Amino acid sequence: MKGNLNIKLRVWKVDGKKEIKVYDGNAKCFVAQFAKMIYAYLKATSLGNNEVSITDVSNAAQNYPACSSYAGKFFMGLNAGEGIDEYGIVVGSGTTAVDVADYKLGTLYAHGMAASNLYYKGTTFGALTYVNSNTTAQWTLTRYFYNLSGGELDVSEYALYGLSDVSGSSVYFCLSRDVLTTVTLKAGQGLKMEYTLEVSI
Amino acid sequence: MNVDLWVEWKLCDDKNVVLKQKRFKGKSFVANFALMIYALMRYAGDDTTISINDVGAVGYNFPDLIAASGKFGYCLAGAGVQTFGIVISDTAATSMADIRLDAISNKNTTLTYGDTTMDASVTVNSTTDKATFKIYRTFTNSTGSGVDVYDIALYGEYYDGSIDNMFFNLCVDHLNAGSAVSIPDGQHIDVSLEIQVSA
Repeated sequence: MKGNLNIKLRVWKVDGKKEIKVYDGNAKCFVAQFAKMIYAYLKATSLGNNEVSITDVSNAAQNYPACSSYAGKFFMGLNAGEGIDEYGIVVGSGTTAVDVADYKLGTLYAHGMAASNLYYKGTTFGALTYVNSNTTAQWTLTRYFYNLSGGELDVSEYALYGLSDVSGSSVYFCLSRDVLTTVTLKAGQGLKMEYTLEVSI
Repeated sequence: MNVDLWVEWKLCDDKNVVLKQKRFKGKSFVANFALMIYALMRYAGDDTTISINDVGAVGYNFPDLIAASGKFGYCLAGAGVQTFGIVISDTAATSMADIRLDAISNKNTTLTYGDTTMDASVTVNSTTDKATFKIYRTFTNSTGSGVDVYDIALYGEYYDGSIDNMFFNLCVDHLNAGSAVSIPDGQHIDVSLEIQVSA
């Protein structure tokens, strides 16, 4: 069922210059951390306050927003650069069904070219646009991953990890997680991921 | 499903007996809510600015509003405060089909606005796979005559450390599909908005 704020997910297998679409549908799974963050913003008289306890990807409880300084300005940042696997769009090999209390991927692929690594390009951010006669506001996030490990890799779970500045430290939170049909990447193949977040009336 | 907003209202007499009630899934979030999420996700060291209109249709650059000491959608307005929190209207919005709706139409100023409050925490239920919380406000009619209301909205307050009194509309919905909800003198209407994240 369509919600008021939705995520759509499209996945392509990349083989040389060919991009073969393997999934195009609704992502289902914002998880509890996302709700807690929205809750915190609506409640906080100062973003430096501790309004809610949120579990980070290491399963540690973090007070949120607790932003330490104006210069920090990290809230749920997704625009991770190349080689960064701590936040942005991230992928893994876990197949356990999604639970709204999930705080991380089952098994994250680390960035790199070694065995069991995926090479992470940057997460790019599209502009917010209005479509469907101004009944929808949407934007896209895109990231490429390449299998330079020399072996085959199975990708089955996808997530958005946000970067926050909490009390002066970089902390990462899982905002969404989806489990889809496994895509096997042979050596040299890649994956293109595109999330579309949209608010519609 | 992903993130939904449920609207509920109860019309009650002075003894708190519920006379009418309605609960429905709203279409409620407007573009400012999207812009809020967009800015939070994008602004990790990114200096790109996006424009957002306040309830008076004045444009502001959104990332500039993010400050550690600031507010970013604060909605817990105190009793009597009509500038933000859950607000209610005297007429039905005519532009509900445009996601860029800046404000509610003809905000009511004659009812007595109670506190806007929130649940003490977010409820996470792995059985139903939902994470939810509610925002509440009561509007009491002490005007001496009946008052008709039509729409509700949630206005968030923003503060960047220097510019005060910025209020942005985050969601708006008809209470009764565009028809009036009549509040006789001495009665009140309890309104709640439930934000529901579903896995």
